[in-house]
Parts: sequence; C-alpha cells; structure tokens
Amino acid sequence: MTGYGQRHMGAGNTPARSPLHRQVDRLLEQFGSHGYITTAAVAMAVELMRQLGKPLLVEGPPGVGKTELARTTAASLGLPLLRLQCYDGLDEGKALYEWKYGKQLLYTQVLRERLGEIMAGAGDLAAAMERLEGFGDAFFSETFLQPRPLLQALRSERGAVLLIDELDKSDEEFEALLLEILSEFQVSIPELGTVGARVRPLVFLTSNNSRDLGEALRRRCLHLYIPLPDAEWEARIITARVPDIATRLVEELVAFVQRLRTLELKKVPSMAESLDWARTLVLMHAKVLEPALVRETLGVLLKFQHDAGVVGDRLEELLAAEG
Amino acid sequence: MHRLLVDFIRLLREEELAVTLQESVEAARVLELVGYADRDQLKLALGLVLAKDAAEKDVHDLCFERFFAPWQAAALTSAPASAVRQAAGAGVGAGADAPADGMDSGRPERIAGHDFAAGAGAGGLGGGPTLERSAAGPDEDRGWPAQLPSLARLLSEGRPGELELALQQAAIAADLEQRLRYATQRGYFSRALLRTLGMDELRRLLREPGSWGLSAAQAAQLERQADALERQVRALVERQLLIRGGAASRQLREDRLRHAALSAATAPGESGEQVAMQELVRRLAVRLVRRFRRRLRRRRSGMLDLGRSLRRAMASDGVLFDLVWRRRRPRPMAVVAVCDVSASVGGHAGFFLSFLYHLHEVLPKVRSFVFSSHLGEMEEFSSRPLEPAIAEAWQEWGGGATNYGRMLEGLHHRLAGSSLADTVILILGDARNNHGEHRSELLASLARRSRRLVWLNPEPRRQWGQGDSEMLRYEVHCHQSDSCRNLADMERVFADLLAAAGPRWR
Repeated sequence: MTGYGQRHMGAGNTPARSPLHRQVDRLLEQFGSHGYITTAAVAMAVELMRQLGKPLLVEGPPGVGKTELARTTAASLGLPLLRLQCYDGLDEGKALYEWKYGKQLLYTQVLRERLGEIMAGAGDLAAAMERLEGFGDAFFSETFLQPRPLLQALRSERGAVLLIDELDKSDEEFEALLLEILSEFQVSIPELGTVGARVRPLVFLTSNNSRDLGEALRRRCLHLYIPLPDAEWEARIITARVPDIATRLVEELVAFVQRLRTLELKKVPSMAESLDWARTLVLMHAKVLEPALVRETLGVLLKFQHDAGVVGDRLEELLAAEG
Repeated sequence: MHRLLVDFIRLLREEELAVTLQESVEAARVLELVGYADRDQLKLALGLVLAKDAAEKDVHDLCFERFFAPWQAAALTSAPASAVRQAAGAGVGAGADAPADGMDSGRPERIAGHDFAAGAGAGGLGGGPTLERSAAGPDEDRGWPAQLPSLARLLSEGRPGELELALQQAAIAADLEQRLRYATQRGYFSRALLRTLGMDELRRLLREPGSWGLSAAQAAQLERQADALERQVRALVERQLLIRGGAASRQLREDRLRHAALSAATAPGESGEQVAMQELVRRLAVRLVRRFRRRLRRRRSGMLDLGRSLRRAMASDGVLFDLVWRRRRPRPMAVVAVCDVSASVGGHAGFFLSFLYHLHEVLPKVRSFVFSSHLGEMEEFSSRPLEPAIAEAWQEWGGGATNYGRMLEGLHHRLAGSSLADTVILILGDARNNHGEHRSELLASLARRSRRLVWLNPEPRRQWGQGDSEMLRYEVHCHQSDSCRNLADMERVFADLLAAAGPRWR
C-alpha cells in the first residue's frame, strides 16, 4: 500500500488533465502552503468528497496525519473546523444538542414568584390552564438549546468542516445516531422538529481500527487509507516541516526510521514521531546521525521499553547499514 | 451505465466485496469526473468509492490490475507505435461506450474531452480495425466488391457498433456469462464465438481473395482486421473468465481444503497446499471474527442507579435532571489452549493454533500450552508472529512420547493460582497416553473450576477408547467433546464456542 498513488505527484506528464485533476493539483498546492505535504490520493479523496457530497472515512496507523488532514482542509478552504472527539460513552447530549438544564432551572425558580401574578385574574382551574397554554413550550425553545458540534455543523451558515475523530472509540449507539446525519444531513429534535443542513458540511471521520465500524456506516462514506509514508515522501515532509534541518541528516534520519519500521516492534515510529525526532535533532545542532546521539534521543522515537531494547541492541548495525 | 464498469463491479462482488447499488451509481459518477484518461487516477478514485477498508482496497487494486490489463494488452499487441495510445484508449473504452443495447448513445459526447473516451466512442469494438483502415493506403479508392460474407462486409464497412452488437449476440448465444467457469473452457468458447460471428467463412474467403474480387491490399487489410477481432474475442472470454471463473474455482478449492483430513503431513509449512490452507484458516477465522465481534462487544445498560442519580440531583435542588443507569460491560472470555504436538497430532495443532491466533480480536486473552512428553507454554502468544513461534515450540516440546497424565499435572500446577471462572479450556489431542497414568481426576478439577472445558480429538469417535486411548475416561469430565478432523470441524467448534459462551456481564 505504501506509495499508493504517489507517482502522480510530479504531475503534468499525463495527457489530458480533466477539471477534476486540475482541482486536485490546486488542492495539493493549498495543502502544501499550509505545510501539509501529501499524496495525490489524499487530495483526490478530499476533492471527490466535495463533489459527491459524501463523508470521508480516513483510516491508517496512528500519526500519519488523519486529523491534520481535516484541519488543513478547513484552513485551505477557509471554513470553520468543528471537532468532535469520540470516546467510550459519548452520547447525543455531548455530540448533538442538550437542553440547558441549569438555565431552565434558574428560570423556573425566578418565574415561580411571577406565577402568582400571572394567574391572578384566572377565576377557576380551567381558566388558569388556558392561560398557561398560551405560553407555549417556553422551556424547550432555541433559548435553552445548547448545540454541540454535530448540530453546529448542520446549522453553520457557510458550511463547515466537521471532524469526528477516532470514531472507533465511541460505542455502537453513537454510530447509529450518525447514520441519519451522514446520509440525510439532517437531524430530528423531538421538541423542535427536523433540522436540515443549510450548507452541507464536509465531514471527516477518522478511525484507528481499535473496533470495527459497522458496515452501514462504511457504506455511507468514501474510504481513504493513509499508509505510513515511503522514504522519499517522508523526506519531503520533514524538509517542509523542519526547514532548518541539514539535507544529509534528513537522508540518514529517514533511512534509519524506515529501517525501524521493518523491525518487529510493539509500535513502529509513525510520521509524527519522526517529525518530533527531526525537531529534537535540530535543537541539538546535529548534522549527522551518531550512535551516541541516537541512543540519547531514542525515547522520542520509540514509546516502549521493549522496543528501545530491541533497537538499542542493534543500533550500530542499523546505523552502519546506512553508509 | 458504463458496461465495463458494471463488469468490473461484478468482478468485485465475486471477490466478496459487498458493493451496493448506491456505490455503483457513485462509481459511475466518479468515472464521469475522472474519465479514462489516467489509469492510476481512475484506480485511486474507484478505490475510494468501492473499497471500504484496507483489506478491500488491496482486493480492489488487484482486481483493477487484472481486469484492465489483459483487455488493454489484447488491443495493443499489433497496433503501430504512433497509434499505441489511441489504440489502448479504444481498447479500454470499448466495452464501456459501445451502444450494446442502444442506451448509451448519448454518452460519448459527454466524456469526449478525454482521448481515451474519444477513441472509445469512435472505435467501439477496438482501435485495431479502425486504425488499420485509415492506414490502408491508396488502394482503398478501388471500392469493395458488392458480394461479401456478412462478417467481411461488417469489417470492410467499418461499422464497429454493429460489430460489437454481433459480438454481444454471439456471447449471449453461447451463454458465455453462465457457462464459462474454468480456464480450460477458454479455447472452446473463443472458437464458438468466432464461429457464430462467421470467422470460418471469412478465413476461407481470405485463402482465395481473387475469386471474390478483392485486391491484395484489401485482403491484407481484412486479414489484419480478422486477427484483431480474434484478439478481441479472446479478450472478452478472458474478461468473463476473470469475473466468474476465479471465484468458481476458488470456491471449489476452498471446499476441498476445508474438508480435507488434517494429518501430521499437512503441518503448516512452505509447500503450495499448506500455504493455501494457512490462508484458508486465516479467511475462515476472519469470517468468524466478523460474525461475532460486534455481538461480543455489545454492552447493556441496566437498571436505574438510584444512589448516584440522587447524589447528582443534589446540585439541582433535589430535582432528578440527570439519571444514571447501571452499565454492564462484557468480560472477555479467556482461553487456555492445550495442544498435543507429538508426531501424530502435530499437524492439527498447527492449524488449530493458527485459527486461535487469527481470532485474536474476539478472543484477546489466550494462553497457549503445547506438550508431548512435557508441557510448555508459548509465551506472548497473541503478540508475536505465529509461524516462528510454532516452529520454536515444536522444536522444544514436540516429538516426545505423549503423556497426558504429566500434561494434566503441569497444567494443574500452572493454573493453580488463577481464577478460571471466565476461562474456557480447549484441549486438542488424541488422548493416546502410551499406557501411562491418566490422572483424570485433575481434568475433573479443571473442568469444575473453568467456565467450560472442551476436548477436541482428531480421531473419529469410533476409535475413542481403543488401544491406549484414554478418551472415554476423559470425555466424562468435559463439558463438550468433539471429533475435529478438518478445518470445517474446527470452524464449527470455534463458532459454537463464540456463540454459546458469549460474554458475561458484570
């Protein structure tokens, strides 16, 4: 999967560039100007999701830039980003809307004293009921509605980028809730009626695969898999994000990290970690990779004692292979 | 809709990708947006719409490569170098835009901006004949003889739409879609299609062109067109075979492997058959995981937690705004697997462990023991790659004379401190104890302590208890005992285990 579609980044060598292709190139440029270096596959996915009006489910190992993709898309298109972090037990109240209980309670307390005055003229119970009826559902109206990210996205005036992050961490009830929202872009609030999207938001869903998502949800989305980058790609990303780094160091660093990914580790270093490492090395004024330096900073790259042990034992060999 | 796309989606469905109608429609829209101009872009874009996880992506990409490759190659083989690109375009687009049923007549203009599609719109059946015609030279002015067999006329008049229609009709007459299943039928169907089209007649004509009033150049041109048509027919058959045949023969092979008796000779290894079986084990396991994973994770909300609700209500003056419900989470089932790895049962054990390994997602807590004369534990069973671990375990613990009594003592000792209330113990072995001490009272104690004890015996039930087999003695203490001779049995046992045991709630 690595390098999926990456050949096309050079661009321009294929004969007819359709409007879609030109749009993809433009997106890539915009992403680049926001410091997000990515493949044509990714830009194509974003463009198709815009054209087809469908949510995009992004999967891939941690740290390949799934969340960053949504953020960059929002920045590139000048749209607000609404982020919903999923977790075990996330429910409607946190994701969609909630009634402002506190405010409602406060109002009842205050109004209790006024109630006597309002009811003063009413002769009997029936008249009082009638008078109360006239007030309508004062407590279940817009005033007391607390919109959460999903509803905010639907009600956004000029569209928005909605990021539903780590969907696999939420439970299945929440997934079912998403079905209506993602296919119809509307939601029913029993007290108020149906709220439809003014402008369809661009919806990104990310997943680390800690749980398998339901087929129904998958089928409603476009699906993008972002793999760990190959060497050339990683070098480009590092150069773009850590401008002060020496060219030789980039080459050595990328080769080393790529080699680590072939080892049997509990957690192989991701893109995010190699970026952190690159920044660390620059701060330490490193120009080349030296065993002592690598050993000192290995903690930035590897997050398990077991992994550090495995790599530490073979460090010389791993570095020597680079020469 | 684009015919080629429909065929491609059929192929994906045969490969067990559940492509919905909605997705097909989206794929067609994507095709219009992307066009045929850039093959890699098309692959990417279709992949986004049709494949919905990483595994499906791989299947999709493989299918894409296979589906579009032979078709293109067939159209390319003899085209002149300068026209290669156009010819390829016509080849790829041929099925897509050919007005086979008259419904696509409006299509070519809409995507005519791309040279691939433009070639297809004009060329229909394939670029070969079209290009050859334009390159035929001055002789063409002489005009074609009035009396020609129908196929020769079709070719000479250059009406690719009709030719395509004739090809489709021939395919329908031969019942190609339904009857073509295996690679060996390729030649038969190619010949049948060509015969229906009238190729025999055309070839006869080409042997003596003079008697039909054809010039040498015209004959040469017809000859080339006939060759191109033959390639076209072969490509069509190839494509259909890809769609139907791959799945059919795979199903056949899978069935055979599933029911093949496992023995020591089929231990996991490198030979083709064994690799195929390993792969099958993985697929069966994945299927089981898919079936059970959601169910095993499901949780229930229980009754109202009055205490916590009241405590929360204190903030709102005693009004119960926020209700708290008791939640119950499933406790994952733990598995202790004990496998006999002596020479007689070792093959089974390999596949059994492999099965268990691939069920990791629904059975995350596994301890795995192997034994022949002594019991040993495979450390970190789920987190290490399986094959080297198996090889290592076989080396260390395999090959001895089996001693079930000693195994039970070892197991009893190792599980002594731990609670087995959530644990299912699976024992795989033939219970042939070489007349040693059987220690069945230890098995009884393990069965009492565990949630479930299952014994799988690779021997058929009628052999249990014969010779040195202690199976009858052990069987009475097990919650379940089964004969487990092939992968189908194993699959059933695991399915039963996952279905019956299910999660417990706390």
